[in-house]
Amino acid sequence: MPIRSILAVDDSRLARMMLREAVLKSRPECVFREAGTAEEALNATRQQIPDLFLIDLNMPGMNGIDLAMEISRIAPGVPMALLTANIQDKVKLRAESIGLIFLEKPISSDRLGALLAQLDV
Amino acid sequence: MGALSEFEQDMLRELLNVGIGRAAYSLSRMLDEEIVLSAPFLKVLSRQEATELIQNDSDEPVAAVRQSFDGPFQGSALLIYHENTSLELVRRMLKEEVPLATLTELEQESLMEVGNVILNACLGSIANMLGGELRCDLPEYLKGRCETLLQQPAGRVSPALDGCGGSECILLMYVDFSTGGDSLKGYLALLLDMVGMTRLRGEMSHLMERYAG
Repeated sequence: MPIRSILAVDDSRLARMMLREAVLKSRPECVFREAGTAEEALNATRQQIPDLFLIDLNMPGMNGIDLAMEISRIAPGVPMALLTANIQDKVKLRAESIGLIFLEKPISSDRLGALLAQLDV
Repeated sequence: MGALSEFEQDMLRELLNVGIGRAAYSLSRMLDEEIVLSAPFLKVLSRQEATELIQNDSDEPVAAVRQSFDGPFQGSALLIYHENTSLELVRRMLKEEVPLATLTELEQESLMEVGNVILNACLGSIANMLGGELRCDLPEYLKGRCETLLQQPAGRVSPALDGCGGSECILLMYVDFSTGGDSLKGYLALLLDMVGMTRLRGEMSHLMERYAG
């Protein structure tokens, strides 16, 4: 099933705007929702589960990995990608160990398009 | 010049945080262990306010690495640690117990290395995301009273651009450097004169327009 809706979680408005541009450039028909905090993301997920989550690692309060674990209880099996400029092996391993896709920040629309194509099954 | 809007501060935080993330990666490669680097807040302050915040009623000298830059805007970036924190940072980098005299000898070299990685990553991130190029000078090591360090001109000494005196402002972030669960707090300061700040805001405005669609 193609990815038709995405929830982007990042405390930075700039980062969310850049993500929105990258998503809509590679998939204009996609429904793009955004959350600025972990709490907003959990509420948005309870209201409607998207086809893909894009989650920033470094956020005040709950970090992206902890948020992903919370989300997986509400939306098991939905793909989640962790975005960070901190591409350390241990961070990457920790993310991948709980099933997160690891994406380097800032993400290009080409890289995001490739990810969406990969997830379209 | 008016204060930075909330969105401008958000943009700067994001630009610098991407740099901090890259610096964490580079430092983890250097030290062969996981490094947690975070920069939880950003404040726009006058020199006096920044000095008071960093000094925090202490007369302890600070050690800093400073890198001047120019390009679409000019200024200088400093990574600042209190003296005791700076020595602890060196001790962790060496990963072994070494006498204080040796630590002190290596302090300058080690802090320059850490500063070089963090400052270049942050300046590189700002330049890349704004779509320009910032030309950086070699880093220099400074030690002394915070007040004295922050009183230096914002960028390369250029009478045409550096005549703004008290109008200069400092973008200040905490930098929390953690290894093995313990954290060491320092500061990342971006010193900009009036011209530099105005140009940076202009560059951010272009970026905002690009993504606001």
